[in-house]
Amino acid sequence: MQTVLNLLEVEPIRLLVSFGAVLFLVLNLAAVLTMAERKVSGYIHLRFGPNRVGPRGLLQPAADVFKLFTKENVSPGRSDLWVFLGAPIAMFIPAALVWLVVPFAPNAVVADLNVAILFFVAITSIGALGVVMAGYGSRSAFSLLGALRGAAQMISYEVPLILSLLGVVMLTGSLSLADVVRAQGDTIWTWYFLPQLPMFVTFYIAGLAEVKRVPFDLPEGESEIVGGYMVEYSGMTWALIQAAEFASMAVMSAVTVTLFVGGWQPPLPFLDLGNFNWVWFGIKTALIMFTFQWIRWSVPRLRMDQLMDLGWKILVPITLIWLFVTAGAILIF
Amino acid sequence: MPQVGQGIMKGMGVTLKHLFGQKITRQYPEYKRNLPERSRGMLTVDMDRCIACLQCMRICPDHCISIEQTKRDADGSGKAKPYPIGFVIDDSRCMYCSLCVEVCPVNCIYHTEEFEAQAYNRLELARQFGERPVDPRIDPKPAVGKKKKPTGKKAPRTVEQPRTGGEAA
Repeated sequence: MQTVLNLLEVEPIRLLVSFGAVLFLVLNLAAVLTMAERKVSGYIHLRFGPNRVGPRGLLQPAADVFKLFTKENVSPGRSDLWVFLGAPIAMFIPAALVWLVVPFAPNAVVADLNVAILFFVAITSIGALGVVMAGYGSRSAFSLLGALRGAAQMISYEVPLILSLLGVVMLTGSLSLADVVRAQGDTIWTWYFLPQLPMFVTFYIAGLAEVKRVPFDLPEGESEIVGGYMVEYSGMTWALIQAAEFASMAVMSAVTVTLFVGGWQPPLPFLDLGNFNWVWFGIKTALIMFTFQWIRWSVPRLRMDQLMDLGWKILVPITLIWLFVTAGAILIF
Repeated sequence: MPQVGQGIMKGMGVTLKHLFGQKITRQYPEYKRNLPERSRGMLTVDMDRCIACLQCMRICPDHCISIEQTKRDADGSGKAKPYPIGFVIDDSRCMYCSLCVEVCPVNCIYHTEEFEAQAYNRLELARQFGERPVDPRIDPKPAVGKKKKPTGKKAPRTVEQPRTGGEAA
């Protein structure tokens, strides 16, 4: 037993095993989040949601995955097949890769990069590539419309997303996510969401738009363009796109927690669980993910011009002003 | 500016209240609500009362009732009267219009409260009532308006056969 544990300390093995564990986590998160999404939507609609498969419907994701595995994978007649089939992969890999740098607990991070925030920003922008590939490869008008909207939205909201990160970076003086968490301290009022409240709200809204959730789900827009860039997908390619969406939603809430809500830090010092502090990380991430779902079933979709107005005319100025305020505060105190 | 986000907050408050609120779904297979008094379920026939007048078969717009008629002294009056030896209601065609119920002179065909008609095969939905099963695929009432070709012989009418029992479904 001890030798096996020591073997896990050896560098390539540690990285591979932990990355495998993270990949397992991401793939299961997609299934669990689908379940959570349907339950939350049902409860908000005064329904029960899925409750037939297993105890209280908890085996529903397994049934869904089983169904999707048995479905045929159809591609449109004149689609660009390589691009079409590559798009779900191009969407999923960035969403899974960001988990590499997310610290789950003290010393529990797959790769403690000293440029983790840069890595996060760089990798999340690749997500737009998958959307464009899906829309272009499908050779369908709806898909292309969805992809164009997706590209415009994701590129526009990158700007406030990155700008709202900068306040945290300035306060911490480090680009490493583990350093950011450590700098926030183990009390709820020293976390960055209080001094950086406008940045936190901006990051949250921009993150919501970045993962294409309601009210920013114009690329999907199922009531206007029936499903956007994923109209033509079926079976497991569709499942992979869904998994990528849920994984990126989870990663966005995890990064929000890490940057602003104190990561693994307990809300009060006496609640410190030592190596089990990942429980705090999990609780906070789950709460943020719940607010994503809560917003989804409460808020109507924005129009394209309103979306652009919100991004460029409101969020970017707010971040710039607060960046200035933060810089001044750092200079003075 | 002071009104920014108020609507969203109000809406999200409503959804949060609903999230923890009492659910109003009725779990159908476990919970069945009482049907209204005059609800039209699947048809059934009281074969003891049926006088084989064939009116229900004739009025049915979907041709879903087939009756095989014969003459039999069923009530012991010494006179052979029309007797339904085969009676089939094809639920795959029935649209619950209730015309047969209205037209029946002895009130022997009526709606039950059953409404869950499901089967793996369309023919399983045909319910037999008489002593002898009737093939539900044969249209009991050929389309009107077409000129009938004179066949020379009468339509075969079943003759009285000894009661076998057990043959009926």
